[in-house]
Amino acid sequence: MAPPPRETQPLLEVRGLCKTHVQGHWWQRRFETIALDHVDLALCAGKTLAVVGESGAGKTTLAMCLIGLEKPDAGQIIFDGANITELRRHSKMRTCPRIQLVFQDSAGALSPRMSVEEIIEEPLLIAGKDRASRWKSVSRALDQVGLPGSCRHRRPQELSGGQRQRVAIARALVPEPKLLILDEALAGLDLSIQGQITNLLFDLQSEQTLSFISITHDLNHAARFADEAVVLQRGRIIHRIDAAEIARTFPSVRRQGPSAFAAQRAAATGAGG
Amino acid sequence: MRYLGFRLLQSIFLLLGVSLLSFIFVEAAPGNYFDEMRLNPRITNETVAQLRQDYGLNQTLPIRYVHWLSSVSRGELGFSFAYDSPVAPLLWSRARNTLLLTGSSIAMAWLVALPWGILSAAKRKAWIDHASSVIMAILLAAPDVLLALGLLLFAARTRLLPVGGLASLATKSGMWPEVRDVAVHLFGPVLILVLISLPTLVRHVRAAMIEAIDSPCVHAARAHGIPRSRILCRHALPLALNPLISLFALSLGSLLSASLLVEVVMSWPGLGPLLLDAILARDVYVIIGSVMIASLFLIGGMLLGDVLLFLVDPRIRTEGLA
Repeated sequence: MAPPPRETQPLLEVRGLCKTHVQGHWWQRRFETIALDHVDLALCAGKTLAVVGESGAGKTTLAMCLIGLEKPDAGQIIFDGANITELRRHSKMRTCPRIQLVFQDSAGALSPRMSVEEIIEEPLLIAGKDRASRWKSVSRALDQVGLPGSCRHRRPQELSGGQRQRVAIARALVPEPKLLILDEALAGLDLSIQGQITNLLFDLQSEQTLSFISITHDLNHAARFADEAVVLQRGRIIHRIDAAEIARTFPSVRRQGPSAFAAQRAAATGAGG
Repeated sequence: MRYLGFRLLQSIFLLLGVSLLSFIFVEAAPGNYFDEMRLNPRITNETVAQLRQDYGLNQTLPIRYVHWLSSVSRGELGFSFAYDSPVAPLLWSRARNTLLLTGSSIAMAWLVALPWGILSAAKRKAWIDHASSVIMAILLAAPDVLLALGLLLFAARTRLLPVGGLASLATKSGMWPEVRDVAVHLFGPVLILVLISLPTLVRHVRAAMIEAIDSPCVHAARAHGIPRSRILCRHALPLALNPLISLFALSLGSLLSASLLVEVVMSWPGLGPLLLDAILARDVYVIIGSVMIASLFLIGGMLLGDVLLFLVDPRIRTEGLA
């Protein structure tokens, strides 16, 4: 049988992922919490998947397993054709830059001791890029996320919440990832900043064929942002919502696509100027 | 510069306060240097009264304090009854030996504690961390005197180390033989001081590093695929530096006072034996002089710690400029 065409192969496939957190030492009573229970997912290149669920549903554990910070107890994570759960540390270090995570708490996630430039260029420094190419990449990343060059030498505590979240996105973009995991990345920001960053993410997705996994509590945001969604409860996927169902259920907030957002923004700029 | 000037002015007032309190406390203690002379039947009461008058002990406390301040302005720090000489040169010759001992031991202790604490934090809950905790608990529980006496016993039995003092009588002349001789004499007291301070330093370094490793930005750096060694050195260590700099400043502040017990037990000719003799003999100006030099080091250490924090932490720099 002929293999399916390349476009239909998912970028990320999660099969039967299980993770149980165990608390307590061998001499104490142990508490086991099932964080992930046979989770199956698939995400195609250039698409967005929203993972929705209440606190403690296992959303962040899923992100940690995908990024390689937690080792799953069972199951497989197949990313870009490779089973990353079986990769050794050295090979994982090569794959990890292709999956990047943006945290909710940008104030905490950016080192207060480093400047914006140092934060963004760090993955390139590790990759052994020279100073000139690092400078160029940092400039491009700042430009992509809409930050002025004057931010380059400032420190995270000197920036606003929205600017910090943009720096976090710029840092995630520098290693040229294929998948960006947004762990409540817009929570805690005011609505106008949320809108700006959502627009930015749509633009990046259309320019670079990026895939997103958006972890959120907010169903409206999931409907506006994602192509499909899964609902997690106690580590299990209890509901899958595809694009058609999202459009049917949330017609008023349904995602309008990058071009519509760009047009809106251009109109707003024109009106403002 | 304004900040530094303000801190210097604050330090001068602090030193004046310390000197005043030292005078009051020493005055409150019973007896004085000439009391023992009264027990000697060959010394008459008139002679003792004359000596008290000569050394100004019959004057009131405020007048003695003003006289002492004028001697400080001449760089003398008062007059020693026992040594019949100004206190400052006496203290300086002993303080040099103490500084040599405590400076070497603090440098050694930090050189050992920093990598030890970092390794212990990086390998948290692994066997190496458990073994380190047990060693630190034993060192913390062992009394300082016991460690010093144990080393003296080892030195006396094996003759591998000198049993006390700063230099041997029969040393070949020349720079290298003398340096080598001092280094051999230094080894024992430095080892004891390092063992005494190591548990505190290692525990502080480990705790500060664990807090830094658990911070969200280090977690984020791990998520971005930054190698472990770089995370420890470039991300976690700078975050852990603030409490460690404060601890380093405290250890600099205790340069002159930390080793008194070890100096007495190991016969090191530093400030320790001098201060002990001065306290037993009520040689008040030597006691006050020693307290003042120790306070000067403490205040200087704290000032240096603040300056280091200002230089190292950009958040403090930003606050300072605002």
